[in-house]
Amino acid sequence: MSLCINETSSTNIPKAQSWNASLVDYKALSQSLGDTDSNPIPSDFKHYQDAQWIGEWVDRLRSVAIRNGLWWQKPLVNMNIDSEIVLEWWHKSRKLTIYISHDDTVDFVKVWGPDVHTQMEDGSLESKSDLVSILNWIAD
Amino acid sequence: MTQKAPTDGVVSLLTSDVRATDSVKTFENGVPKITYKIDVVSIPLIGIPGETDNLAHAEIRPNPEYKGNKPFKRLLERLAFLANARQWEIPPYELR
Repeated sequence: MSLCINETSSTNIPKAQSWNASLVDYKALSQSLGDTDSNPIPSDFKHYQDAQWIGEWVDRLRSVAIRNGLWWQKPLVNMNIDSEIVLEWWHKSRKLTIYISHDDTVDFVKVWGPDVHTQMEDGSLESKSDLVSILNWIAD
Repeated sequence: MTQKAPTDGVVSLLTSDVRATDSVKTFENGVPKITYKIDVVSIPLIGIPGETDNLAHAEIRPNPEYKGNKPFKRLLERLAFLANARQWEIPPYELR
């Protein structure tokens, strides 16, 4: 399953804090990751290109959140060993993790406690309404 | 967990806590489909080029092997809870 949440209008998006700022942040991220031997960076982590990809996704998500009047905070960004983007948010006692793969498949895990059966829920984002739903959940 | 660089933080997990995650299930239409047992297996790292030998190395493994990675992602979240509860063994450089 893949998710397309591109926004075509830039109305109400504060541009100065949108794409350009994210690009700078994630360029810095990629450089810092590339400068250390301490992180197990996947061999296909292409630094700037991947940082750009990450920045684009974060901006898409942020755009949907702002457009729908939802809580938004810059996520903790990482890449896992499968070369998926991993975005993590914490809000009160809740944690939301979104995994984005290179084929734009998007999975999520909602966590509100340590029990894998009763305090976690996972799924795939297949529509913009799914995204709005999980952003609503973390904002609650 | 192993510290690879002097600036890295180190967290720890008790094997008993990990094994106490006695099952991770996948569901299909609300019905349990596969139940995974979680184990910790000693895998000493010896003679690997470019790596320091690590006799204490271990791997956390499901049985059977995961089909799909969603159960694994939920397990990762649980492991993070377990590690957080034990606090840092060595804080990362930024917190020292």
